[in-house]
Amino acid sequence: MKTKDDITMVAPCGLLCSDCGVHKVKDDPSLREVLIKKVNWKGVPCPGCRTIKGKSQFISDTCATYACVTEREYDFCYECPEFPCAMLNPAADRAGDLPHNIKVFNLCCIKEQGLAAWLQKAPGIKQRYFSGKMALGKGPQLV
Amino acid sequence: MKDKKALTSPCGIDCFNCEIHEDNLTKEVAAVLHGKYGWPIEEIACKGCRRQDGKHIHLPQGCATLDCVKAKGVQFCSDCNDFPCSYLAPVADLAAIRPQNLKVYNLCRIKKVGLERWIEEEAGLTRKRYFTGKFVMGKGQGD
Repeated sequence: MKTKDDITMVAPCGLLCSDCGVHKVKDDPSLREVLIKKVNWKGVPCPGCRTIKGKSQFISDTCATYACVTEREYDFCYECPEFPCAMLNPAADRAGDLPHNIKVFNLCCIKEQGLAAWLQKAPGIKQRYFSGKMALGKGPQLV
Repeated sequence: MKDKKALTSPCGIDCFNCEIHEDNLTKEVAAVLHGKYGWPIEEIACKGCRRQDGKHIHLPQGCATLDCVKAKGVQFCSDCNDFPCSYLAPVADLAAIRPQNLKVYNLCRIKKVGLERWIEEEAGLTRKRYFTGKFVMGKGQGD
């Protein structure tokens, strides 16, 4: 399925590249230090997953998820009959530094509520993910 | 082990694999939790979310997600028109010790393969991957 929406800055796995520090650092040098610390950033801003065709500077090969989605000719993982597969399995490992645990939530939002509605919410979802406090039964809350 | 279907919470958590479930709780774990949170030893063993009506020593007021699911008359959050709502949003806070980031992934898998198969084949592995697996960029925990 090829959507008519502009998905240039939304990765197939559901991450919003335009809200990623490694993208935003091109206009915001204050992000440099935290990126170096958290993801061992080498100083090159990323234009976005789809623009670089999944060849992330943090991965030695093409991103396996990107390669899988494009080979199957989907725009997003949720279009796949295997969604959500083990590549999207959440992980506590590096949970405070990387956004992998947001992917399936984002993909479900895009699927159920549409891209435009999700785009409005996406920065808030990410902010609550990294800065929110978990309130049992209610999910993350900003304090 | 008792009926694992009744031991799967509406938000997608496998109570039957939880370390405080009454069938899994060890004296050692109870002692650690007592020491860490001050919970009375005799109140730590949990019968599972649905059987406890969402209430436990760590959530005495009950669970907003369970209350919502009951009010809407659905079995799982994934049956709701608002799925996935902010109650299920992922969060890095407590990610290493609490299973909140598994919820949406689990609910999607339950919907896909059915509750019975998910219980038998997937729930334990997904949880293990979450808490002890190593996250690999682009691949998650895929092969």
